[in-house]
Amino acid sequence: MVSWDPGALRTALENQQNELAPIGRVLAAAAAHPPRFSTHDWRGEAADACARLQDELARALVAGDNAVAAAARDIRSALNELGV
Amino acid sequence: MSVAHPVPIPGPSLGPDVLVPAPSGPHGGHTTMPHGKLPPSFRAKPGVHRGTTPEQGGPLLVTPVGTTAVATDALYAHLDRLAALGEALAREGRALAAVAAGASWTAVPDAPAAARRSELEVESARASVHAAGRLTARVDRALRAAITRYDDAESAALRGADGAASFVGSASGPLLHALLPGLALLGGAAFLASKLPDPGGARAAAVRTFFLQHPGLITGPRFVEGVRLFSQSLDETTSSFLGAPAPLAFALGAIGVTGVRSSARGLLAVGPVVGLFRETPVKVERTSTTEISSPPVGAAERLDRVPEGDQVRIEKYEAPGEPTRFVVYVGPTETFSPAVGNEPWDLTSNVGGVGGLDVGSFRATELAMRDAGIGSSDQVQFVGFSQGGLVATMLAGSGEWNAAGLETFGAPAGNIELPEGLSGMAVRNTDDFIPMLAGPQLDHHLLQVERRAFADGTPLPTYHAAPAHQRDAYMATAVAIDRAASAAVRDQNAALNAFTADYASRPGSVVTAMTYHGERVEASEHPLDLRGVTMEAPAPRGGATSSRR
Repeated sequence: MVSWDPGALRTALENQQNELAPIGRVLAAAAAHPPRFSTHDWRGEAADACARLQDELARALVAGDNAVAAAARDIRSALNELGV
Repeated sequence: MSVAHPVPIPGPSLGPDVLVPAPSGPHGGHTTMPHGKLPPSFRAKPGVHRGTTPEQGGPLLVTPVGTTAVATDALYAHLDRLAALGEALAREGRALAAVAAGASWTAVPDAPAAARRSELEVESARASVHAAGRLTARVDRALRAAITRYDDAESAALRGADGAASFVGSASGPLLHALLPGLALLGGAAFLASKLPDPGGARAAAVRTFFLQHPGLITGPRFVEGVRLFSQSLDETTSSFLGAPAPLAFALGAIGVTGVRSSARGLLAVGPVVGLFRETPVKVERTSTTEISSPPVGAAERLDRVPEGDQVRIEKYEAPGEPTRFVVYVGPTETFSPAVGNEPWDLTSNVGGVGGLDVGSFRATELAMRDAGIGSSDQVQFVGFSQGGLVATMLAGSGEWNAAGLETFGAPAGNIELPEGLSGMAVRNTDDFIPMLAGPQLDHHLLQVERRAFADGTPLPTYHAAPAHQRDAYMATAVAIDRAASAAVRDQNAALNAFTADYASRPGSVVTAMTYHGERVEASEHPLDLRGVTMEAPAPRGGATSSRR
């Protein structure tokens, strides 16, 4: 077990917070608008199989977005806990 | 790859082509179009029915350079989006790995509990991003495979139809021989009838009215497919007619000894015997020279600059310290008469051009290019509509000019080999039979963009017998191209735009537009006037006229 002084701990958490912010923005945008083709453009068995994969992809994007958002929230909580 | 200049017209020398000296001083004019708006020729004029709009037609179908895989612009745009998402997920996955490596809170006793939880959540995010990346790649692969499978199935169906048509053609000689006396009588009667006086043009009007009232006869994918099969099997039919046994006729067609090109040349060899399809020297005169302020932006604006009447327009782009660039716009067929008249943009040039011969419209355009100062090393972008597209493709593929770009609309030019690395696109309406007269698309060095001008259920206009080949039908397709979402189309459109915009935007640049009129020399007889069959309906009384093509 490694012991950190509160200042170094805080700096490391702030760095993580700053690094997570742009990742969160990208994943939030991708999760909000997952790639989907229109059935007007493509129909049939292959299209249905592709659509199922896209549903899985959309769920994975939402899961990634939620996980990053939760991590950001917890890092904020940890920083609050450490105080100024 | 090798590209070839069109071969000279067979037979005795035609005599010299002539460039008429340009009148002194600039004259003429050009109205430039505000960017982002529909070109003037597309906007509805009072009293004139417009055939189609971008919304009335079908989706854009795209065949990227170097492939035969056709898919909608929307699906290719979807693939672009998947590719971008895949890259983004890979990048963010690496960034999450760096975050995780920055601090391992579960190993730090003083770390708050929330920090330890965040470590698990970052790991979970990494796993989700990784899974999303894999799924993105799977969707991409599935979509590409579906496009390829569809293309394979489509190609197999086409090959089957082609094979059947070729087989029928290769065995049709005896039947044609049996029908020959009847066909000869019919043809002779038709030829003589065309020479009879037609007071008031009643006969031509009757033919025109029939086709105008039945535009569906020659408009639509089914008729286009028929034309494709006919042109595809023409070689075998000709061989069989000339006496080749069916297997030999079939084999000659299969190995490409005969083809649309040889059939067209055959027509030009036989035609002059009855006074048709006769080539002549041409003369060209510059009719205007105007300094203009703006280059065209987008396919619709370029199509709008393709001239009619004066058949060639050349824009010269000069920028300080840079080699001069040119854009050559070549106009469509002006008359469909097979008999020689004064017009080089005629049926003879269409047939000879498909045959790979240096026909009147081709030579007239080259004369105009030389007069405009275009040298063999100057970069040139070619734009053409209908026969103009055929001439533009012949010029780009001739090896005589430094072709940088090519954009054609409704051109019967699929059998012309093009050099690699050309920017641009060949645009065809799938319900327009004219491009199929040159046979199927063989060259794939240029982006192919297709679209049905009149979607199922759209009423066909009656202003012209072949509405899907008209300028407004192609203008609608050009507007759809300018709205395209896929990189395959947008990149080529942007490259064509940049060719002129790069220069026009520089300080001290000068853009000059020149128009040219070409005529045949030694036109010895009055041409058959078949315009009533193929041109538009008469303008409503008191109304404006629409563009002819």
